[in-house]
Amino acid sequence: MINLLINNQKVQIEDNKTVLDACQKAGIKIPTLCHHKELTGYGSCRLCQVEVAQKNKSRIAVSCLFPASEGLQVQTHTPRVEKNRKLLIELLLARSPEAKILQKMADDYKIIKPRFRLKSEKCILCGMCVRVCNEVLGINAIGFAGRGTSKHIEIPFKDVPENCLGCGACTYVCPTGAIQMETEARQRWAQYLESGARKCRFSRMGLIPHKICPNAFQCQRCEVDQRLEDTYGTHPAFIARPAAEQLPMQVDQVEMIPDYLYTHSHIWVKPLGKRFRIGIDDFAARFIGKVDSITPQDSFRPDRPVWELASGKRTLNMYVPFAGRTMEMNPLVKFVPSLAGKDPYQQGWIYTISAENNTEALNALMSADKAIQVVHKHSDRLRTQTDKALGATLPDGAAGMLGDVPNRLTDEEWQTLTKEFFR
Amino acid sequence: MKHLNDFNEFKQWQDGLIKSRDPNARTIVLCGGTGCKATGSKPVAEAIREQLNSYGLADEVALRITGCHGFCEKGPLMVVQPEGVLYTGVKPEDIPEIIKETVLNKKIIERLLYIDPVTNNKITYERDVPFYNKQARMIFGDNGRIDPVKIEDYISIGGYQALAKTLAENNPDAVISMIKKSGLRGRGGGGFPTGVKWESCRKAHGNIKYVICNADEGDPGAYANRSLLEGNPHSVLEGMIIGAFTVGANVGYIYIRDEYPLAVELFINAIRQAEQCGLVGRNILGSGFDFVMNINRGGGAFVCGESSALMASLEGKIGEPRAKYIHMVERGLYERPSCLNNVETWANVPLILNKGTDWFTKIGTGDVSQNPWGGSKGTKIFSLVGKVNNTGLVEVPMGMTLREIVFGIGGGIRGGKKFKAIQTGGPSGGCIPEKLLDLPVDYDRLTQAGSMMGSGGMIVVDENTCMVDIAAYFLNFLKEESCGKCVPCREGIGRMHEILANICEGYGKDGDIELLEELAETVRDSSLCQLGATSPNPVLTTLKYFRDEYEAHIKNQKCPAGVCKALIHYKIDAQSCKGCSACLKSCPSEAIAGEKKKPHVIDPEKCIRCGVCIDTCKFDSIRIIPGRYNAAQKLKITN
Amino acid sequence: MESATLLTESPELEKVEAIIEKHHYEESALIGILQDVQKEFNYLPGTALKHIARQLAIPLNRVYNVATFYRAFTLKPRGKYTISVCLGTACHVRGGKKVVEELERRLGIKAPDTTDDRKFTLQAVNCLGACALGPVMVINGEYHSKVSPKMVEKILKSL
Repeated sequence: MINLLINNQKVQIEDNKTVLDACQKAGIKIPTLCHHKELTGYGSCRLCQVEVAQKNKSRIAVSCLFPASEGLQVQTHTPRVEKNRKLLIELLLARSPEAKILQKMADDYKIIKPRFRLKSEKCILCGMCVRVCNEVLGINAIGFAGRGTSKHIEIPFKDVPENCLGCGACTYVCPTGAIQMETEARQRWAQYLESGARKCRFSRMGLIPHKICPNAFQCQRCEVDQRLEDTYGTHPAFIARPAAEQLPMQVDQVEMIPDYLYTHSHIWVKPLGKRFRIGIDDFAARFIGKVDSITPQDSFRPDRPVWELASGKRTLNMYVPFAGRTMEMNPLVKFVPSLAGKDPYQQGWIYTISAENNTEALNALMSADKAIQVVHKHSDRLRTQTDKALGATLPDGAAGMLGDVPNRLTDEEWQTLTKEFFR
Repeated sequence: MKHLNDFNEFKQWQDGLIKSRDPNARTIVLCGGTGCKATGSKPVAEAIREQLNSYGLADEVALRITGCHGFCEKGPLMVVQPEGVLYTGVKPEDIPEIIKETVLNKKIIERLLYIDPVTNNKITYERDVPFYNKQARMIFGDNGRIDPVKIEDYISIGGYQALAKTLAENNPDAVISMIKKSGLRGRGGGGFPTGVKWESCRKAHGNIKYVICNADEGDPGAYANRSLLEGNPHSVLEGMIIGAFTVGANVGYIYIRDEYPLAVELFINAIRQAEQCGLVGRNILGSGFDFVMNINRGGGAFVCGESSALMASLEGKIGEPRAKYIHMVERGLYERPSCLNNVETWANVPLILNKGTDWFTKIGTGDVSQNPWGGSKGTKIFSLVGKVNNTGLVEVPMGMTLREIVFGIGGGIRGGKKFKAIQTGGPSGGCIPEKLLDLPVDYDRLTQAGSMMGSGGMIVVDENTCMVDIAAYFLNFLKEESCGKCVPCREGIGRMHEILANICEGYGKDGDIELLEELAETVRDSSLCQLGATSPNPVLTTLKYFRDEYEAHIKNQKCPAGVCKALIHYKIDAQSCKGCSACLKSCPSEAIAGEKKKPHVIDPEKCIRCGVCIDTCKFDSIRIIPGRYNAAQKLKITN
Repeated sequence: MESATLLTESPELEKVEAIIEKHHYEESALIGILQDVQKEFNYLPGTALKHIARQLAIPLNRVYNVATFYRAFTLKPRGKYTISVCLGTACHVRGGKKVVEELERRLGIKAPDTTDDRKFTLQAVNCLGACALGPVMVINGEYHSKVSPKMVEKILKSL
C-alpha cells in the first residue's frame, strides 16, 4: 500500500496505481475527457492535471499517468491548475462547440464564449474509441490518421471496415457522440459479410453460442441484444475482452506467444509469406541459459539439426520436424548471440527459413495450445530434477523455479534432459 | 582491412597507420560535404583526378575528399597541404592552374584566395582565416584531416584508441566517473549531464539495454549533426560502442533523418568497416563484449527528435511522445533501459577519454567538480546562418559571447545592415536581442535569456527581418510538426499561430498580445512533451524584447521591418530610377508602368509584393515602405 | 494456414514483397519498408499498404496511421519532378517563401500539390540542412543554392 497526501488529506491506495486513481478513491472530482478505467492511460486532454510536490519541487503532472508514490503531495485545484483547465476547456469548446460534455464543463468554469474562431469538429481526439477497439477487442478497425492539426480518426482509406465486429464499443466510450453506428454503414457492412458470417455481435465476441442475426444488425431494435446489454450493466466488450487472447501466456513461468506455431522440441515458427521465421521458445531459453554462440546450418532435416547453441561448455543441437534451407540469419543474433535467449520471441529470432514443402511443414507444427501442454510436461519434469538437485522440495509455483536452471543441473543431468526435451 | 582479435593487434595496426601518415605529403584536400557538393565540388574532384593523371602525379599528390569543413558559404573549399593554402569557390576550370602553380610550384593564385569581408584583405592560409582561427575545433577539426569513408584515416589520427583502452581496462564505472567529472552535457539541447544518464542506465534493471544516437536533426537552421556524421562518422560510432559497453548494452540504434542520404550512406559504410575490423560485432578485440548496430531512417517528423517519440518511431510506430514520469533510461525502447544521446554528445566521448577530464573541464564555464549541472564544459558546434557574412558551421568553447561569434567569426552582418537579433535553439528557443550580445553562450545563460541551446542553430537576423513574422514562422512550423496528441499543443499552438498570422495580415486587435501570453503559459504548463512545453518560447522572447513591433503591427498597421505584405507597400524611387523597364517586364501582376528612360511607378492596388522587381532592379530603386499604401485605408475586421 | 500462401498476383506486389523480405518481415522496419516502397512507386499505393499489413501480420490501421503521420509519405502519385523548397529558418529569413510563391505562380499549383500533367510536385519542406546556402531548393535530389525568385524561371526551363 502507498500513502499520499491529496489536498492535505491522507489517502491510502494499492501499489501500481495512478494519482487519478487515488483522487477518485478519495472522492475528489477531477475533470477528464480521455480517461476510462478499462483502458490504458493516454494523457491527451490534460484536464486531469494536478500539482505534485516531491523533494520540495512542485510541478504540474497529469494525474491519469503519474504513478502514486509514497509520500507524494498532491494539490488538485490550485489556481494555476484551474487556470490551465479553464483555457484547455475553452480551446476544446472552440473546436467542438456542439459537444454537450464540453458545454457542461464550460458552464462549470464560467466560460461564456470562447475567444477563438469556432470550428465544428465533433471529435475531440481523446482516442478512447481507438483504444477500446485495440486493447479490449483486439480488432483495430479504426485508428488515427494524419498528425498535428489535421490528425483525425479514420477507418483506413475510409473503407468498409473489413474486420469490424460491429460491437459498438467505440460509440459506447465516445464522450462527445462523434462516433455513431450509422444505419447505412451498418447495412453496407451487413451486405459485405457473407451470409454465413452474419453472426450476432454477442456471439462474435464469444459471449453467447452461435446465433445468426435476423435483424440486419439493427441492434437497438433487437430484444435479445438489449436484454443482454442490460444484464451486463456495461458494454459487453468489456466482459468478453477478446483482445486478452492475443496477449502472451504464462505457463509455469514460461512465456508463450498465442499466434506462433511450435515444434515439439521448443522451437517457435512464424509463417511470413512463403517463408518462416524461427527461434527458440522461452523454455529452451531458460534451459540453456546465456547463449554464447550459435552455429548456423545451411540446411536441415528432421534428423539433421537446424543449429547448434552453445553456453559455456554445453552445446545443444535443435531440430525442426521438416526439411528446408536457411535463408538468412538474424543480423542482431549473429553479432549478439545472447539475444536469442534474452528476447526469444522478438529481437532474438534466429533464422528465416524456407521449407521444402510448406503444407507438410505446417502439418508438422502445432498450435500454442498444444505447445503449452508440452511446456507444462517438460517444466514438471525439470522441476522434479532441479528439486532433487537442491535436495529439497520447493512449494509449487515458487519464484525463480525455472530461473538459473543451467547452474542447478550437473552436466550429466543436463545432457539427459536435453535428449528428452529437444529430440 | 584485417580482423583485429585483441588489443595488441589493434595497437600494431594503429602504429603502422600512424607511421605511414606523412604530415608533409602533398595533398589536395577538397571538401565533399553536402554544402560544397551543392556548390559543385564533384566536378572539381573529377577535374583534379584527371589533371593529376595527365601530369603523372597520381602517386605523388594525394587527393583527399573530406567531409564538411564548416565554411559552406564559400564552397567548394580546397586546401593545398602541407602549406595549408585555402582556395574558396573553386571551379573545375581552375584546376589546371592550381596544379601547375600551387601544387607543383608552390605559387599562390591570388584570385582564388578568401577575402575577409571586414578588412577586405586577402588571406592565404586556412589557419589565418578569422572564421577558423577564432574557433576551437576539437570535434569538428578532424573533418578536414580524414576521408570519412576510410576507417584507416580515422585510426591514424588516434581513432578507436579510446574504445580499445576502455575494453582492455574493463572498468565501466571508471568510464562513467570520467564522463561525469568531465561535465559533459547533452548536446541535443536539453543539457542533461551525460554521465548521470549513463549511470542511471547502467544501474537500471533489465537484461537487455540499448544505446541510441539521435541524428534526427530537425531544428530548422541547424545542420551540425549532419556534417559531423558525413565528415567523421567513426567518432560517433566509437562513442556509441564505448557507451554501450559502459551501460551494458549490446544493441545500438542510430536514427538519421531521411533528408540526409549522404550521412546514412557514410554511416552504414562506417559500421561495415568497423565490423570487418572486429570493432563492431562479436567479442570485440577479444574482450567478450558483443555489439551490433542498426540504422533507421526517419520518416520526416520533427517530433521524432523527442526521445520517447524517437523510440516509438524506432519500433515502427508513429512518433508520438509519451509521458516520461518513468525515465527512458529505465523504460525506453521496447520498454527496456535505453541510453539516448545526440550525435555531438557521442562524438565528445572518445575525445574526453583520450585527453582526460582536466583538459576538457578547462574549456567552458562554471564549475562541475561538485555538481554536473554546475556549468557547461567543452565546445559546442553551431550552425551560424542567416544574415551574417560568414555562414557555416562553427565550433566554439562554451562561454564565448554571442558578439564574438557573430562579429568575430561571422564577420558581422551582410550588406552593412544592422544586427537585430539572434535566434538560437530552433523552434524551442528564442530570439536574443542586441542588448544581450555580450551574453556568454552556455546552457544556463541561454535558458535564462528565454532561449535555449537546442541542437545548435544560430540564425542571425537583421533590421529587415520582422520579429512578428519570425514568431509566426516558428508557430506555423510547430503547428505543422505537432504530433497532435495532446490538447494544449495541438489546439493551443494552432490558436497562437492563428493570432500571429492575423497580426501579420493586419487583422491584429487589442487583447491579442495578452491572449498570446495566456496561451503561452498554459501550453508550457500542460503539454505532454518538451516540444510542446517549449513551443511558446519564440513568442515569449519576441514579445519580451520586441513588443513594440507587435504594437506597430496592431495599432499602427505597420510592419517596421518591411516584411508583412499586408502592412507594407512598394515604391519606386524617382531619383535613382533610370527607366530601364527591367522591373516592368518582370512584374507578374503588371503593376509597374512607365515610359523608357523615365522613372517608373508602381500601382499599389495591383502590386502583390512578390519582390521580383527588387531582385531585378540594378539601381536599387525599389523601396519597401512600412505601412499600408493608403493610411486612410482601414481594414474591415472580419474576425 | 492462409498467411503462408502468398497473395502476389501482380508484379507490383512482388516488388513490395521483395522489399518486405529485405527488411526481414520485421514489424519494427515498417517505416523503412514504406520508404522503400515509396521510392519504388513514387507514392504509397493502397494495395501495397494492405499487402504490407497482411504480410507483417499487423493491423492495417497501424500501417495507415504511419503512412499518414510522416511527412515523407504520400498516398497520392507524385510528379516526375519533385521540387522541394526549404523553408527552414535560415532559408525563411533569406526569402525562401518568395521562392515558393514564385513557383506556385509559375506552376499554377499550391504546395504540396502536383501539376495536372504529373510533371511537377511542389513541396515546401522544413530545413534540408544546407542552411549556409539558403534559400535552397532540391529537385529530385539535386541541390540548387541561393535561389532567388528571379532564378526560378531559368531552373524550371532547364528541366
